Amino acid sequence: MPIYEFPEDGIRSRPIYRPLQPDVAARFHLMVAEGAGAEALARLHDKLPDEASCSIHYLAGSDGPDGSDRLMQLDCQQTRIHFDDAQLADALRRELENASMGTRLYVAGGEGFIWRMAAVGASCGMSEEEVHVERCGSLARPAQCVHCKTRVEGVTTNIYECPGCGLHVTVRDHFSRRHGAYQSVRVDAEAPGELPPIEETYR
Amino acid sequence: MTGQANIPVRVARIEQITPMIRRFTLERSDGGTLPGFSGGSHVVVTMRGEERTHHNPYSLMGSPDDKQRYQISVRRDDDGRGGSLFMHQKVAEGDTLEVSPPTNLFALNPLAERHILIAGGIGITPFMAQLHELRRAGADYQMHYAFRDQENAAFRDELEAACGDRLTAYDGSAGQFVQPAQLLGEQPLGTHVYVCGPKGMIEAVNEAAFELGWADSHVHWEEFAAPPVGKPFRVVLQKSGMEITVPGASSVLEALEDAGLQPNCLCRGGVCGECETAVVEGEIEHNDHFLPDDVKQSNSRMMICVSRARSERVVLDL
Repeated sequence: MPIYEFPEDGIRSRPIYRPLQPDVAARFHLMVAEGAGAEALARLHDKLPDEASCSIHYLAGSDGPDGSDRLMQLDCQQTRIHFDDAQLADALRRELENASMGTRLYVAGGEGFIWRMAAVGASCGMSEEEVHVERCGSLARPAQCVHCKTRVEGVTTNIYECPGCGLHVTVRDHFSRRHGAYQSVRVDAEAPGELPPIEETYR
Repeated sequence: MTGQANIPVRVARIEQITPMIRRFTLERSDGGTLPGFSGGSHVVVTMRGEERTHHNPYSLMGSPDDKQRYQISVRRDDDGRGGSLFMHQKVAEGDTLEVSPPTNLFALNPLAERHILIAGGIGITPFMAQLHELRRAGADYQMHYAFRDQENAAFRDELEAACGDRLTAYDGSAGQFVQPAQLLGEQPLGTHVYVCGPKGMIEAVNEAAFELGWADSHVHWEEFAAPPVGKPFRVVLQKSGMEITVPGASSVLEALEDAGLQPNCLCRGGVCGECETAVVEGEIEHNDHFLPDDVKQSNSRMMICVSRARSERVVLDL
């Protein structure tokens, strides 16, 4: 089961997200979400077989509604609420380091969040096939300037001023799974200062 | 034959390893270096006999660092189609053979956190090359090697020297067998399993991995199918309008080659996918490990290196 698909045309690296589906072959389901992702985990949990073994980590207080209560009500072996992204990532890493083959990681949340958590899975030896992701909430993009490599979270406009090098860069659909970020390229290279209209594209 | 040209090699050394297994050391006839390869690669050896030419795939088992020589091991199969018997009975040191450039369909995953290697009998050969890579990388690995009895425990001394306590040997005559569910249970994330051996062993490992929830991409196996002997049948080539007979002891691929054609092919063992051919008409007896089950059932495609016709006649899109 692919964790995401790629568009048939345009820039092929842009992920297309689908609702999380349980991988019923797995022995252990590790579920992670932030903000609006709680709803996606609740839907996923409903689809798991009754005897399935699972664990939930939730980041409260990030963008979107707080789904802590919703997740605490689910019948899950362990549900932990975190208030800090780095703390959640640490807890996830510790759990994965003690996990066995047969585990699947499911992540729901904003695009920056899901790929940071997917990277934790990858660094613990998980393959793409074992990590399932769903984008929830804002369409804001994590972006990386191709010129100075400065990363910016939650870009909502088609063009932004890179805080690293000060260039006006446009957010392309070219997505790097390894960096978990869209690539931004200088927009006025040929006619410096001539900028196309700046629009809020990724609300 | 697709891809690069065959390489003429001289048989530099033949060693009788067990009563059934011989190891052949091959060097380039012109004295040059051989193409590099990675552990798990195989070459197709072309043996030009008086009655027929054999093309058999064999795993390279020497060090991937050694470009002066290739080493293969051949288990004698008295009931086979004659390739292994040719290697055992007709080939002498100093003789010339041809090998294809190496192809790897059974490579180690370099991102694996741990490698579990499981071999049965002659299935040990691809691992002999991979062990060089694993040791050089300082990788975490386990080598599990099952054999029928001590007399047939090929390369056991070399493996003990290479692997030390990472080797677990299973002597079938002493009631020792690989227990896949035990080996694969409770393994850390990032573990990959590799199995090469008899069909039953490969199936048992795949089943255990599936039961334990392993993702398919972490389970690697290789089993070359020998083209089985069957009834003769007619093959019609729709594009070229030719019609030929496939004898009982030849594959479709070999019959086409005997007719002077050069269909695409690589492994000749039903695993690589290179010779996949569209079937226009006819029922196929599939013997490959490549096509998905639904494609096999639809009779729409066949691997001409190992599969045969169930009907008396097939029409191929060639």
